[in-house]
Amino acid sequence: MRLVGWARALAWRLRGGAVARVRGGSMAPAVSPGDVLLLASPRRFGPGDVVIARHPYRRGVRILKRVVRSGDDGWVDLAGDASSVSTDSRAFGAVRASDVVAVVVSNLGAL
Amino acid sequence: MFAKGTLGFRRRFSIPEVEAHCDGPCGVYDPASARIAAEAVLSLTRKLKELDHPERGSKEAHDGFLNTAARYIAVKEEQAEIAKREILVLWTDYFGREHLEEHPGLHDLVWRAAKLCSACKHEVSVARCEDLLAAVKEIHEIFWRTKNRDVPWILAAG
Repeated sequence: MRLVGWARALAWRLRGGAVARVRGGSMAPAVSPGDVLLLASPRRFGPGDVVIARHPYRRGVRILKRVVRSGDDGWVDLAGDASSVSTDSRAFGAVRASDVVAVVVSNLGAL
Repeated sequence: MFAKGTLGFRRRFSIPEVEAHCDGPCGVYDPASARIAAEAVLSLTRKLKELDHPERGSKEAHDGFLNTAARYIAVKEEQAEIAKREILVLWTDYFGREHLEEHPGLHDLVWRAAKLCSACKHEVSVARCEDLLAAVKEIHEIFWRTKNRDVPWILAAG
């Protein structure tokens, strides 16, 4: 199964897609630490989608959260599924939609 | 050549990390700090028990007794408070819902341990201090089980 996962990740990369590995448990149980995700560019996303965004004040940090609100105003609210171990829009407010850098399309699990 | 090629491939195929974290100061936790404080409480309680009242001693002996007893008690109070704080920090900052599901007695254990810290202040009781140390040992065992590590319980006092 791991080999299949690696093959899918490689194929995704060869087609120009991005992959990322998860650290931390704020998206449990949907996403676990160590899982590898296939990412697409964020052309369309809405409430319920799991996305990767630039952290609003920690430079270079990319955060994995779920969109809970995306208005027409260009701002989105993000939340971790495991709310007790997540820093998200409850703490740092909405983030700019332009700071959402990817949408998760598939979780390959731990590879 | 081969190794270099592999390295190049690996670099090209390195997987960037994304954070599903909290920004809290999730840091280094270890029940050892509670254990050391609890051991100090036990040690000071034993020292207090070993003090002899200077029945017919001089004024100096009486002053010395009071001073020594007061110092033992002051440090016993302080260390019991430190033990309680360290236990509560593990409880509120380290242990999470998933640990509680695996160890449903955790809340009661922490509550009992914290109350024993107070009992060790109120009383001059070696038995209470041993109860506290035993409770901290239970916390130690649960803590390291949550990390899938086998860490032995070793006392500073031989």
